[in-house]
Amino acid sequence: MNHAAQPRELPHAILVVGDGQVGILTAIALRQALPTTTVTVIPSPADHAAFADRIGTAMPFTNRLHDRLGISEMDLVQRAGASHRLVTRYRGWASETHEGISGYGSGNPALGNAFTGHFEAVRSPGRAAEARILTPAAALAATGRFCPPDGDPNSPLATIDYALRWNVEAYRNLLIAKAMQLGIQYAPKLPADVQYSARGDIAAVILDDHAGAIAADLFIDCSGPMRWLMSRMAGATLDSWRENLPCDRVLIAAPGEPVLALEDRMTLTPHGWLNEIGGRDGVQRIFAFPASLGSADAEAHLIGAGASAAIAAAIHPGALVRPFVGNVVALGDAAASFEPIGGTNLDLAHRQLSLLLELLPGRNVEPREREEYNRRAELMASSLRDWLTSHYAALGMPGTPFTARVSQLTYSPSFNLLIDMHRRHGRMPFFEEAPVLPSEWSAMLLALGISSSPSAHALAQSAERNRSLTQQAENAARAAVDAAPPYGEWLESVLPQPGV
Amino acid sequence: MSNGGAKPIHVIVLGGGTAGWMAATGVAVMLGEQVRVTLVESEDIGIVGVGEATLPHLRSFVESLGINESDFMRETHATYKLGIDFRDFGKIGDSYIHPFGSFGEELAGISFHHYWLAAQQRGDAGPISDYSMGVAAAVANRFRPPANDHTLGSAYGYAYQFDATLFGPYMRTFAISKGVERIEGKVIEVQKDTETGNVTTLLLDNGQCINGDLFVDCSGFRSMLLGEAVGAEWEDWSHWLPCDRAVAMPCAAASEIIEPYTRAIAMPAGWRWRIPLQHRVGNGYVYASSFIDDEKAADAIVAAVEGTSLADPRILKFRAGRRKNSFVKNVIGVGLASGFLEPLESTSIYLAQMAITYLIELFPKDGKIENADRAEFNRLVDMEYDRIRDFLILHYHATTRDDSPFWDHVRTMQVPDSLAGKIELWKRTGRIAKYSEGLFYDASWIAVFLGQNILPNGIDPRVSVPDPGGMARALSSLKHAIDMEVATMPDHRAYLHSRSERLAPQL
Ligand SMILES: Cc1cc2nc3c(=O)[nH]c(=O)nc-3n(C[C@H](O)[C@H](O)[C@H](O)COP(=O)(O)OP(=O)(O)OC[C@H]3O[C@@H](n4cnc5c(N)ncnc54)[C@H](O)[C@@H]3O)c2cc1C
Repeated sequence: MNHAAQPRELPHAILVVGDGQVGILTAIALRQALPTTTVTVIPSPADHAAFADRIGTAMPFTNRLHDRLGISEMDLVQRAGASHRLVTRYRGWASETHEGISGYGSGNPALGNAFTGHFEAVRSPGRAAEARILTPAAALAATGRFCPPDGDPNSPLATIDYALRWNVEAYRNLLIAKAMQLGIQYAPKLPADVQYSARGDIAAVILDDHAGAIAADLFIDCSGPMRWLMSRMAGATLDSWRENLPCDRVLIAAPGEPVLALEDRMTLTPHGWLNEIGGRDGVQRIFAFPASLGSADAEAHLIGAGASAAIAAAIHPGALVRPFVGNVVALGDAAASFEPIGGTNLDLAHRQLSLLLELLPGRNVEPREREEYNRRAELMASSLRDWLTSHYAALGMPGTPFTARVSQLTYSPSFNLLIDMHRRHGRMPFFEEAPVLPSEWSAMLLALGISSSPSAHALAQSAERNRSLTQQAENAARAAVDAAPPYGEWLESVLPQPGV
Repeated sequence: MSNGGAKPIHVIVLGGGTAGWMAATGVAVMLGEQVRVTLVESEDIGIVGVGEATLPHLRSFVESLGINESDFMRETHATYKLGIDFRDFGKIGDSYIHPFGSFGEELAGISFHHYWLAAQQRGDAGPISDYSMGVAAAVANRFRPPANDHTLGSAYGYAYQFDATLFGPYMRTFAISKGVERIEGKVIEVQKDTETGNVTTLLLDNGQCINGDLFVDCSGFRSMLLGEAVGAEWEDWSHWLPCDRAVAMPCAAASEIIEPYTRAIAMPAGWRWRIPLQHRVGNGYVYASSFIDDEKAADAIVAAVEGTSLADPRILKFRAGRRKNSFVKNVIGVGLASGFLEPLESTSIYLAQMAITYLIELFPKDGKIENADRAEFNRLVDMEYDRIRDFLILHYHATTRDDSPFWDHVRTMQVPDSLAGKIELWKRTGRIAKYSEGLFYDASWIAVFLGQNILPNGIDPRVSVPDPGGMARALSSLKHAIDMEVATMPDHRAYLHSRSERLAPQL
């Protein structure tokens, strides 16, 4: 068998279409993985619904990807206006006065779901808002104290996971500088047309202004929902999520006043929702709503919140059934387009990129490998769809136009399963490739006011054990607060010029 | 927490084999006052009494019940297990260990085996087994519990090899101490509610009637409640897994060495196990009755064992497959009553444990069973069975053996599409289809593919990037580090004997 097991031929050239923060990071990742491959980036026509490119926040997964690619968090803090989000505060979802908080990470595994279930069980109805703060992240957000954990596994901050938000332009410039260092090519010409190979793959992209053509072995579509490349591939079909998600119109306000907060907000309104993402260079406000309800309310909300001019974007919610067709891979909004809740569009883009790195094709695409990529990407997307749907499972504001629209949604079988399991057993089923941890998912459902009853196993725990777990959790939260400086102080200590 | 004085749900477990006592203990300990647990078993019928090799998962089960490991090992005459040594599977003369643990470490996001395959082609690498702590320790007959850190000394797992006739009784004593009621008697009739079809009562040969709310069927192959009473359909897999009998024969240990691993040795019409316990060695020939008759199989096992036999060869009959649903009406099948996959990878006790865990997670708190809970239980159980099934079939199919009609059959049979896809992906790209749920992950698949000579034609293109000299040095220093670490581990027998609490008295 000595002829076997040869490394497959490396791709000679890869072309990335789309020069936003998704496209450039993709080029960086590919070039680092394939230092002998020519990697070229070209822009794509502007697309307002390319949320993964336009919104400056992601989820914790991105921090890991950045680490792997040598993009340091400190650089992002010092040069791209990055700040930390520990939790999201949901307001008005379960009732007009409702507030709920959820963060990231697996929490304390010793406490587990049984504990969450119990916590819900002992909390009396109507008192939810004053429930004790039992997670370090929520305690830190409430007191405005934090500094990133320093790697010491015994630190009270060690288990805290977080997401970053940043200034999109500064972040992109930082990526561009890195891309140039790595020798990534940039052709500042829009694509005009494609040339196909005999097999129906793309052989080259012809540039505008008679600027020639770029041939490649592999093409990456980072052009956003217009799917500049994918729309030219037979076999790229869209699975519509219109029945599963209510919002198909989004207003993104120009950045507002700087806000230094460890939490972001998701507020439900009678016409949609408002996401306020804190930022040292200005708060980002996003309002999503069903187009059928008109944009007057959205505008009123943004203006009411002090926002100026807003960009409107239309969404056709859905995902490509197969985001890897022929020799073209769609990443981010090109693969799945949906209402932008809290950094999930970029999170998905980065997860897909990471999957592509794991299953990186050689010069010739192996159909089986492509199938495996599509199988996993599809699982990722459908779990994300369910996660988004979770937001609408139990709106507590009857009689609003938005609630009326939401009541027409249909739920996927997997979604029905998880919500039923959560409600009756305090249990979160495991979904392969899900972009959120089961613990994060159940914490979010609870934050939305979708309560769960304790499992039989949780009920069997002694009151004493539960009291001691509650005590442990409270101690951990207190220890975290004691260990962390005021967040602003920490920032000042690391920024080149003091003052924010 | 008490259940507020509500009447406890009465759980009846039918069957006192390994599955029955595990289920009764698990439910009683984990659900406390919400349940009352009664187990019915019949000495006339007895237990299957085999099932000696386990998987690491059993440790967390035993631990979560509050059972002390030494205690448990002493009472079941247990030894430690680091993996399984497969012999003569890919071809006669082959031997490889499928360890609890992986090979090497991923580098720059690419699995170790890609680098290894490339280095192997250049003649720069030893066998893949050189780069696994679990394999190295097993081959050296050494054992020490893995470290609880991220060093090499933590890079393996372990399970137990124990006496199957002692495990049930041990769990029985423990269960009774936790309040499980035991009833001796043979069930002769099962009564059902005419309206709902739920099982209501078990009638015993001594005239006793046992009523319950929820029935856990651990009656073994007969599947008296799940199969017979509520009629769960059988899905047959014998066309892929043709072995349908085993002839078991324990023997005395022929040498001082106690291997910290199980052996699976391919035979002309199946394979045989060899499982070293503290006081003896378990043996058995698992065979396909359509390819060999019982007598010849018994002769073969008698001829094969190394030590003095301790009992006459005993024949067991079974079929590969599972119930299409394991939770029907108010009956949950656990253990052999729910399905059977041959013990090639010691998965049966794991499957029972898994079903018990899911039952506890989905337990109907108020006694009312929702369809959604049955559906979820069945989805999970099917997923576990199906993934193990494909992995087992691979052991037979990945062979060049053409020395007997049995091997001709399994070599040339059509495998399930789900498996065919995985083999093809591996052959073309050296990649393993990724699943995070179910039992066997990439390291296990890699062990069997490579161990049975299925090499991929293409591997990750990126492995041609690093400098080959550096790779060769990295491989040799990994092997060196593993050898050094193993050299500090005690001999398995010596480790067992170093603490008398875990030794059975007769030793
Ligand atoms: C050849 C062979 C080798 C195996 N090797 C392994 C291995 O290495 N690792 C592994 O994990 N698994 C192995 N297994 C599987 C393992 O033996 C079983 O999963 C395990 O023993 C559980 O069996 P059980 O409790 O379901 O059934 P059984 O042991 O058959 O118990 C059935 C129980 O039901 C009772 N019963 C039945 N009918 C009635 C009735 N009418 N009234 C009252 N009581 C009744 C019986 O008395 C008995 O107590 C092996 C199986 C076989 C056949």
